[in-house]
Amino acid sequence: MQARDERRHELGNLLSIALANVEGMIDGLVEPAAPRLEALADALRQACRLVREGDPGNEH
Amino acid sequence: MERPRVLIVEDEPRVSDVVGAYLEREGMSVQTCRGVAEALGALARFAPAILVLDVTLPDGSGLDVLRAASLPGSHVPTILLTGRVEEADRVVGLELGADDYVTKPFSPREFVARVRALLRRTSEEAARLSKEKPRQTRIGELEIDYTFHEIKMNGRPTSLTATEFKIIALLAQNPGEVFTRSHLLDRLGDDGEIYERTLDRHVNNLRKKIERDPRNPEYVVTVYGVGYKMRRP
Repeated sequence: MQARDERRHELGNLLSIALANVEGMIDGLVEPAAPRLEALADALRQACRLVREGDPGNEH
Repeated sequence: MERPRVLIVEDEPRVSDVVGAYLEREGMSVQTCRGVAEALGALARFAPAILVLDVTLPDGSGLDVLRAASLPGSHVPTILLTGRVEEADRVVGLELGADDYVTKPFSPREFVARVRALLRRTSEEAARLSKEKPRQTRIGELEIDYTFHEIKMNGRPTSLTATEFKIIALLAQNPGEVFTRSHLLDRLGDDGEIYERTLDRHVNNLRKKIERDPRNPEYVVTVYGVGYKMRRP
């Protein structure tokens, strides 16, 4: 249960980073420069990893 | 007009930088902190109008900051950022004094709307409080405490009946305003204990207790043909 809560918390953080930055770019508040896009991609990669780890089919 | 100050306590700069930029675009002054210790210092120095607080911080719980921000007399309106969606966490946070919460992941546009709504509620509440009647009035040597139902003349407590207190409180909260007898009776309540014919007697008894010369009153003054008024401070 605790591991699942931690994973959910981390996933929430990573998706917040992604959403904040994408909306910020759309609204002209965040420059879509390479370092920012790379950080965004990194957050999404980590989120993908957490989703894969949380899939019961991948726990065996 | 001074820009509303918002303190953001969030350990993830890739989130706080962006939401901070949104709030600054809305005309707010923003400071960000990444942990509990830094936030406790900033609360005192920055004196924010709104606190945005991540519950999970690297050096402790954001709820410790919330406790410090919710002390009586120094409450800072607070929005919690939390990844914990369980109802219990929400209840605990709100019972500790948080005013709203946003669960992660969240949209910065929605977040900004929440901050603006809380600012609006806070300023409306402040305006309402400033319009409320004062808890105490001083007119000359007469002091009235509405909370404790106490009257002092020249610093000495004076005992009034409930009806006498109602009359003087109403007049003193509206100094200079003339109340007709029927208006006074309306405002004093409809408990049926006060009638127009007995109102004058209550006023006379009140004058005996607070006036130097009840026949030439300085405080509760008769406006002939109309009613009564309290002299201005």
